[in-house]
Amino acid sequence: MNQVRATQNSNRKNKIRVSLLLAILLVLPLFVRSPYLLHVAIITALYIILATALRLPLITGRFNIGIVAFAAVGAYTSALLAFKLGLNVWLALLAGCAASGVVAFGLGLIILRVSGLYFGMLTMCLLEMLRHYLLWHRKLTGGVMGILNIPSPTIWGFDLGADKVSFYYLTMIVTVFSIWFIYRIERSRAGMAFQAIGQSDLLSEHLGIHIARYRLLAFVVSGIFAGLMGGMIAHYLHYTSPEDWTIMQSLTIQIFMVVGGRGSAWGPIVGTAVLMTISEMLRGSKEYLPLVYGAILIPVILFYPRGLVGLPHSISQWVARRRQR
Amino acid sequence: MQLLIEMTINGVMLATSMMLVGLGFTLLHSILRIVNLAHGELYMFAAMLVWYFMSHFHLSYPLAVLLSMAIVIAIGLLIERYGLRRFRGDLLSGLIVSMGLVFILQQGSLLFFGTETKNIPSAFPGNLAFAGIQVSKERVVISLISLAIIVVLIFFVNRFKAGRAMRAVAQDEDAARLQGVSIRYISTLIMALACGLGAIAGGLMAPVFMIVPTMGLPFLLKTVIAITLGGIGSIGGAVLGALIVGMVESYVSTLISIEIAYIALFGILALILVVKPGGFFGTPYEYV
Repeated sequence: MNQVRATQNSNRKNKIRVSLLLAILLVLPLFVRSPYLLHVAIITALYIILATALRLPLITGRFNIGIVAFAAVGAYTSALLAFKLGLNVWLALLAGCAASGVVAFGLGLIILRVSGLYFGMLTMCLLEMLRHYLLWHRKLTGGVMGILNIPSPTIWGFDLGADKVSFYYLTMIVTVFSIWFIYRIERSRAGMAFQAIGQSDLLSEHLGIHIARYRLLAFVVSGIFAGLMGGMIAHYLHYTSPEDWTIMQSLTIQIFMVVGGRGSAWGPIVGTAVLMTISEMLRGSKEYLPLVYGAILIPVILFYPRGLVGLPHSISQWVARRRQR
Repeated sequence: MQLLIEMTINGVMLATSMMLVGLGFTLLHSILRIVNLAHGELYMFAAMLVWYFMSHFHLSYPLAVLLSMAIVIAIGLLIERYGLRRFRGDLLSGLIVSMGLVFILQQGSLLFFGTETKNIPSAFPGNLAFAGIQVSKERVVISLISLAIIVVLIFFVNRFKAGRAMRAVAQDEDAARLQGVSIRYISTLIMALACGLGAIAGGLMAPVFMIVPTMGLPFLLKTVIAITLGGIGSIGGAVLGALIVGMVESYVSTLISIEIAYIALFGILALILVVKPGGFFGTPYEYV
């Protein structure tokens, strides 16, 4: 009974937190007029999609280290369809998602056979291959130069890319939808299966869970959302090139998620927001940024594997213990 | 004919250096249960150090290689003692820590050694002429040295007491502990061995390639493809896989282009995984 009340309590707390956050996000452009800050907010929100998508296969015990590859597939598909064929941008974005989903499905069938973390290493190899392909197929992808002048999405003739505020709202809608969707999957029956698989392959197989199928499902969903993020960022920046989708980029996303806390849905959100803020503060000396990331990540994983999300809880517990004395 | 021989020698050289790095990587994975993403960075760091010692202190090449090896082993032992040892068996956390190390080592060496491209004069200049075919002496010597090291390593793992203890730990940690094997000693030994192998590979390849801070991770990834091809956890498999990857890369990148070589490698890997999910000598599925 106590436990039920506790979960209800935490549910209510979560609801309050979410509505507060949404309200802040809704009114933010009224107070923040600087296009630079809005730009940072948009980029951060898009990275949050990627970091959140990353958590889904991780729950099933598979670390998709090369997740940026799927974002690249989404970005290039969407950009090429909109730019070369003149397709409607919204349709192009959907096609980008579909393409990265299909790629994730096909690759998942093959590389999910590999055990343990070699899977993660292979996704990284895959990213490297994709980058080399993009560099090589110059006629289609523009090689090192990438694709320029990608059109931005429009609604009834109104150009959403014309000013940062409208794109900000679009990004927030897409981000909130993605987080909500992934959260719902995590809490559904399939999500339970994911968690069971993550805890023990052998046991969940004996419980009758089709591990290969569920792993593939998690992989494909994360691929689709990564593709969505890729398409969005390509249409926002009007530009994409192979140099935007590197291994270091991918590792950075992993660090965002892990520093935030990989055990909770809030983790990727908090981690990305905090580390992106730090990276913007260090804008003047970008060359030290990887060192800072490493210096933040290693202590977190060594001494506090729950990540930043666990901090308030730990602090309140510590305070309670001090009071008891 | 000249081109064919050259490509083959090149492929063998790539394969042997990949074997050196890959054997260290598999040893760490199968015995310590650690996936060390920073293993490629140690390879890069060793090459950087060789360049540093040769250009700033004017040391001779063998001395520079030995010195850089000692430093890389020391760094590796520090990493093992204060970082990776806590994560024995916890693959995921170990992987994440090594990600942080990749960032620090890569960017650190960029800041410390500078951004200019680095070249080392060839240690074994000249060509070997054999039946009218010219072969770069350097590449042959590098391949031979690497092969000799690999043979010694396999001999060590199979015959010596410490090598047997390592294999015992890989098979069953608790049983090995009951037989009086010190896990701590073995894990230090393995890390030193793996770092030493990586450092030798880096030192040997330093005169051949241009030395850049970003060369570690892609090299490690190719090595991982080789290991997966051969079968994870099998030394013979790693050797065979490295030969395949080295040959494919050498032939395809000479005849067509380097980008196609990368794509071909992944194609081969996908094919093998479909036909034989565990690689050539591996078990098909492992519950990790």
